[in-house]
Amino acid sequence: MALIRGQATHKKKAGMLTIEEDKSPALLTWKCADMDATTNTVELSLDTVGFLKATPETSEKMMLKIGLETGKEILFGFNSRDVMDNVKVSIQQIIARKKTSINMEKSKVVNSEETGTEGTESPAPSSNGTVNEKSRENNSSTPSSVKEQLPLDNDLKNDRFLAELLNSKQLIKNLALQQRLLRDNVKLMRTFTEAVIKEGMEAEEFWKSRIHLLRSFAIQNNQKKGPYNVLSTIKPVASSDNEVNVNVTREKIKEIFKQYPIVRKAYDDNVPRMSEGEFWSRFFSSKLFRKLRGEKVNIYDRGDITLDKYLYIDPDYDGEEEIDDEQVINDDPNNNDNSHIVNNYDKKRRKIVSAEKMAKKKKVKLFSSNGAPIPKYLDIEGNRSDDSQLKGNTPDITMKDNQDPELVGILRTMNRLSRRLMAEITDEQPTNTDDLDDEIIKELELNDLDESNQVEYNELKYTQSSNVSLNIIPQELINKVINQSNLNPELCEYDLSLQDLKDTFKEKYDLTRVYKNMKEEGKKQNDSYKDINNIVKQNAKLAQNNNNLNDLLGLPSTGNTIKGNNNKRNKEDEDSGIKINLDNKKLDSVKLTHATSIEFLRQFWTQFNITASSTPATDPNFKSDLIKLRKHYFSIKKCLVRVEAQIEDCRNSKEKETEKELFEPLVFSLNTALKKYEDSIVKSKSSS
Amino acid sequence: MDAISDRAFGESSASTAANIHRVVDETPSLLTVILDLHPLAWKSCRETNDKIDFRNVTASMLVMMNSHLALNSGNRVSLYIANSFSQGVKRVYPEETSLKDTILEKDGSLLKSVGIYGQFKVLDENILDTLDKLFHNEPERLRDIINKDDVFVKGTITGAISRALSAINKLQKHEETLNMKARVLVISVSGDNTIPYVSMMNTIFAAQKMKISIDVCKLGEKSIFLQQTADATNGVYMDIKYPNGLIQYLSNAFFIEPLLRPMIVLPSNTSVDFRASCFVTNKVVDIGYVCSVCLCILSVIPGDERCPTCHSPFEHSLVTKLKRKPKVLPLDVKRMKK
Repeated sequence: MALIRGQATHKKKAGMLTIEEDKSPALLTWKCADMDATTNTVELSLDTVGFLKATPETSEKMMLKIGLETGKEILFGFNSRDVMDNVKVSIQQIIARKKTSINMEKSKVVNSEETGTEGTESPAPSSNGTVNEKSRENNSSTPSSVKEQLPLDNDLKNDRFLAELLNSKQLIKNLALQQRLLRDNVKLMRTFTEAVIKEGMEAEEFWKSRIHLLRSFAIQNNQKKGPYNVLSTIKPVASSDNEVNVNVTREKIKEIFKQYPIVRKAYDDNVPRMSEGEFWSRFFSSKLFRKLRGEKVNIYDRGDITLDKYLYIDPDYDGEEEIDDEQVINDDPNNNDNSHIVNNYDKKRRKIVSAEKMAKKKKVKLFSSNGAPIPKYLDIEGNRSDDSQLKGNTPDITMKDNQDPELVGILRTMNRLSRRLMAEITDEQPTNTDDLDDEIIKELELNDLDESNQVEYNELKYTQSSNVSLNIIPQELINKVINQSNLNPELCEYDLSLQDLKDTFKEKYDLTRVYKNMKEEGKKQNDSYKDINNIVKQNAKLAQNNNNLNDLLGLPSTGNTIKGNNNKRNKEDEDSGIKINLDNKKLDSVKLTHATSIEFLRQFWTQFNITASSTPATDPNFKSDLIKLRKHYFSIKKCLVRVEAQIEDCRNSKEKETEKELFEPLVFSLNTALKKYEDSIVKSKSSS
Repeated sequence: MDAISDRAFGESSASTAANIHRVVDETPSLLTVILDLHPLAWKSCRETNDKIDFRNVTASMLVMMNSHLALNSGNRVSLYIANSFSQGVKRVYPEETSLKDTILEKDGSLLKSVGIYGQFKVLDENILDTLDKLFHNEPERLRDIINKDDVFVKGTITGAISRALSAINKLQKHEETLNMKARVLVISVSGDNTIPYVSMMNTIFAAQKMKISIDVCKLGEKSIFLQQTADATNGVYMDIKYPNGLIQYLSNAFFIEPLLRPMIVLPSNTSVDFRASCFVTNKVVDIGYVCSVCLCILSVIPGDERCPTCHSPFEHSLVTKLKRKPKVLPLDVKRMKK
């Protein structure tokens, strides 16, 4: 494919036309067969081609006109349509490639303007660390100064960091995180402003009762996406004017480099020579791309001459040698210190040593990249289950003699990719050689002769101590009955009732009266009918809401476990059974008052329970805790005042009624808290 | 624990709804009614709401049972009584053999049976006679019951439901009525104090596993345990607001065939009170203690520092910590400063 060749006439002279694609820019040459002709060669660099015209297939003539950007036109005649088409197509491709590369260039400029820090520096792939950093900068293109300060933006590779992050104390100190959560959660923000900013509650206490929120928020923001097959997400789209549009973000390019070292190598080899945009447009039309994606590569497909070379490079190429080299050199502590006394012998020796080290490292790498913690020589079970022939089946698809090598190749490519992805994930687990040794020892142990552990159960003796009888009949009644004299005893409630029930059967039953009675009493039937209907209507609405919500979330409708924010208001309103005739502003202020009060109640009860279970001996802050608790008490009192003010603020009695009804449970719980506190005072006085 | 996790009612609904057309409502079903006879509760009910009347309730119930029979020739009914104090749970219809022994002298039937359909007549007369017999056997005086035995109140609602469920189980295993659909309707007047909590929960789990819905028609005060029962078994719980229109409730809200349940919006009250009751005092608890071994619920700390249900000893230091009284400062700020 390197050369496209064909006979062509130029200015009525026969000659040979050649297109050399692997030159940059691609070159078209025409050599006259007749060496003596006046114009015996024409050379065109194809990146200056402006347009291309060919005679239509219906025409007898076969001419191809190439227009240059300078306005010059060159005409070639062909005597075979195949040859002409071939030339035409390849020129078209070259032009398209050029166009995309120009576009890439442009978008790159835009991109680098956005990211700012990156500037025009060539994005040559560097070590993994910097790659991550760059992609992160891309992520944070939304301006958030907070984010950068946060420790949580660091790549959290280790669990310890996460644990530290989720530590309650750390969370409370993490102001930036709290700010972000508040910005995220409007409702919380309102409570916060009301309780902390306006009412002077300490922010720390506010967060203390909401650590779970902080924690889940921190986790949410720290979840990272695992590696995935990048190439499969890239889909070139051919547009109308010979352009192949490919959307590649910078992160995707990094990922490609990471997952396909071979692409990185190709990039390293070629990019200074060709522009970055060109490289990528070439890559996406190359066979290499198709192969790496796991598509079937047809021999007759047009590929890309420069990049398809890499098809034949060792597919297991990992691109890691250089890094390893560096590491080995850095590992050697003598390297820098004693360089002045190094003699030749030493140098040689060191070389040997480093070579050995490298070999060792490679071995370890090989081992871990196989992802096989179980040594194969021991894993008899595994080997057996792998061998499908033992069960009378045909050999594995990759193991057949007559298997299509293309197919196997694709399978291998995919397996290689999976292995690479997996290796990246398991990286975090320690692959210490000591552990491996331990594992081997463990496997060699013979456990089956050991005594098996006896499971011990704790016997539970269940007794239901409550005597229902005593509950059913009140004690007073029993006492009264028992203590009565046997002579002429008084009739008690039970006796009367029972007599009543017995008498029921003295009269004949007329079942036709059942409906008649009801009708005679007026619209009783209607009442009960309405009652049932109302409940059904309410339930139907609820069920519908739930279903809608589930549809939205793509969940099966399994009942009312899920409450969405959208539906919350409706739901609350329906549940309470109170018709809320308040305008939204009013309703919001009611809600706010409610939320704030609940907040103070929460603080009060937490403090109350803490002081209840601690003593001056166990808690050094006991006294200050008591004072704090009293402060909470007064805050609750204030809450009550605020609720009353809110109710007083109503314009008419109707509104007042509604608000009163809405606040009723809140007032009750506020009063309960106050009462509990006041009750405790009396006790402490009497005890001291 | 199987029973608890087997919340099959909700989940299976989708699949049953799809095939429901094939099963059609031609399949016969059983309606089991449990009638609460608690004399004290009946009395207080009548005192608080003069529209609640035992006669009306039984009559409406009979009409409902007749209607159930009228729907399908294969349909069946049965009736149990609960909370009758001295006699325990009895099956009224089909009549229990022990009841057949008592023969009352009476003049004619208890039913005005002019123009009534024969099968209904047999059923209604039978039930009325048996109820009459039952009340006849009931001692007239409370002292007669109390003197007899330590456990003098027998046959709670829970017991009745258990018996009904076992009868249903037997029926469903019988060849002729294999897998017959069934539902239970509880007509209750008494409060939560008459229900032993643990037994009730066990009954609920049994019903869940059998996929039998328990409907609750509640006269008088609310019962949170019965609310939970209905909720857990996909049944209908209703507080009857207009006892006079009871027949309307019975023939409408409580008349939903088991097969139709997945398709119909139930007229149940959705706000269910999920509180539990204390194992010692038998009262509903808001905030209480839970034994970490057997999960029994306590509203008080037992004096012997042992779980009253499973006898596991509680840690002493923990108990003393729990027993500590809350400590607060007096409200007077000045005095505090001294």
